[in-house]
Amino acid sequence: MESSYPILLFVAVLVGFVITNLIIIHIVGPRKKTAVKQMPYESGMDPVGDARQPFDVKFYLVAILFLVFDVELLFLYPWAVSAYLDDPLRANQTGVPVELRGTVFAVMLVFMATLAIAYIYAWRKGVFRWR
Amino acid sequence: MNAAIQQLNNAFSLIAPEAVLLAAVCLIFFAAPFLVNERGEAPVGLRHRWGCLSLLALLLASCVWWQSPPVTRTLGPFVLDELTWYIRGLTLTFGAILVLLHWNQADDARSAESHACLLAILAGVNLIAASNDLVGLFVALELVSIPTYLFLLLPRRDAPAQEATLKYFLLSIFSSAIVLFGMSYLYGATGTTNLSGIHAAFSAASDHRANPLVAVATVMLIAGLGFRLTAVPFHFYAPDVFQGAPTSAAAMLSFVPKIAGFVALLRLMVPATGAEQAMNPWTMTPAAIPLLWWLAVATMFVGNLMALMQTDIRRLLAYSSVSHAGYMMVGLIVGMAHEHQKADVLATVSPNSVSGIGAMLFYLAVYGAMTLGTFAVLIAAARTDKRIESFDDLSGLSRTRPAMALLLAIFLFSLAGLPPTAGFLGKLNLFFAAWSQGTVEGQESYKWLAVILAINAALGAWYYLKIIGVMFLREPINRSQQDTVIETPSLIAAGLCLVGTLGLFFLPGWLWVPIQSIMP
Repeated sequence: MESSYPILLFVAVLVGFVITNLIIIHIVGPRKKTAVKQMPYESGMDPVGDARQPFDVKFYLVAILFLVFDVELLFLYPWAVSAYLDDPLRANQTGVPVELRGTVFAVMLVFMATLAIAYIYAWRKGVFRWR
Repeated sequence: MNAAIQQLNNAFSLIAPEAVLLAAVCLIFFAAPFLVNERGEAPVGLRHRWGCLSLLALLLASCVWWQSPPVTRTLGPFVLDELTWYIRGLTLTFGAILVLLHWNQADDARSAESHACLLAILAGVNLIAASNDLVGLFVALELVSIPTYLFLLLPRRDAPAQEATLKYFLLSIFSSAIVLFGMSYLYGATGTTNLSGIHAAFSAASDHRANPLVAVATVMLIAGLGFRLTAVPFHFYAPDVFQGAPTSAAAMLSFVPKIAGFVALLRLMVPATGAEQAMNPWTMTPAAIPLLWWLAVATMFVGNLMALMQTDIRRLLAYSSVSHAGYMMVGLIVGMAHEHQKADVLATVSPNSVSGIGAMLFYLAVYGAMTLGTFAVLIAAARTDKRIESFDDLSGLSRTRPAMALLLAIFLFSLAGLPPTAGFLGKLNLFFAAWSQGTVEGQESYKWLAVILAINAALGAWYYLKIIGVMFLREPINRSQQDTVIETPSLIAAGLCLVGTLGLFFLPGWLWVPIQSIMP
């Protein structure tokens, strides 16, 4: 219980900050009501109407390309953290063993090369040209 | 150096043939957009170059495969044994035939991607045969199914092809999810994703038969992989997809997912040969065998009875592929029952002359030759403006194109299981395997399985012979067959399949010897 005291304090500050901000906005914030501002916010789309409207396929392409880099980062980050952990001060942390580093590095290179090919493919197919 | 580390460092040398194929995939995807411009205009005849490149990659992978000796090496995530060796040979050989079938199916602009997808599918099947880990197995299964979606849609983009692709896509991801669910329960029951580890855990624990987690995992894995086999009741997509998809894609679907499904089932339920034989290695069989028994019976009957009612040749071939999946399941079940019996110390082991799994693996190769041959003739005999769809398109083929009619008749004879074709030997092997298992006391249900197999072979012969009758006895409807094209690649493919279909009847030992080393 002693050790979790800072967490309780943190939660209290967090909730207090949010509530205070909401109250202050309601008191001092300017109000100019227009039709657009009154609409519920839905990522820039018209929230009322047929949900099955045509949606430009370019958005999906961009989303998939984003995913390429997202996954890349997700995969590279743990490797970057754990690959070269031979600092004697952090002896209790286990990283990639020395004997395995070459293999892991080769795997990362293959992964990057695959992503690069996917990227070049998308570029040559004109995905980045917003027509 | 730690043994585990050494295993991981060496693991990638075990999948060299697949690495060659995937490197070719990367090369094609890299080069293709530089040769086809953004308006989709490609130099004339570009598809021939992609076809040659695919064949070259398959040849190179075959060389690597041929160099690797068929020894059992279980190294961490991958396993190399006789089964891997055999399946690799099967995939690479029939992969070359599929490349030939696909040669002119896609136009110059889209040929590159579809050829790359085909190579990726073949690499995926090989990886399934080589994987020794649930994670690797699932990734390999996805390497088969995700390129399949593209392969179905790329050559033709009309409404039936779109419908076929969408149906296959939705059901396929559904079945993948079911497989993953089953795998998660298997992991939950054993605490490891390594297949050798799972088999070891099961043989160590005596009470796993009562474990409900294992039962759920068994049902889910059989259901999810049953989709790949087109086993009833997971076959509903097959006729629609075969009808709408391009001919080469239908040929691929009739054969390649079946190898994938059967090999995945073997890998999940049978420990690799040469691995430490446990007392009771047949981990999931108590629940699996009755389930597979009924699935096989339903698959054979539904496939054959529905095929009798078809008037579209592609739908007929779809149901025919369903029924052949049923025949092969008979071999799988008998093999599993036999091994299960061997593991049971108290039971007397029947001296099986034909092992069920061996019969299944033999039939898989034979089925590949005869079904791909049938599709090759359908491509080669098509006219420029219209592909072969109804029976009427085939009527009187013996007058207009006698060589084609003869070829198709041989393949259909083999599918029906009539001598002198390999289909006859394949069915005979399956029948004897089931019958000899049925002679053991307490295993009489396998005798019934053999009888049902024979009844279904007779049922199947009816509709295959009906097509032959249409070709040889009816008058040609359209006598002006001037607009036929010479499809050299599919003709070569049909010739290779003919060699397989007839050659395996006269020289079965050529294939039977490597098979017998798989399941001693």
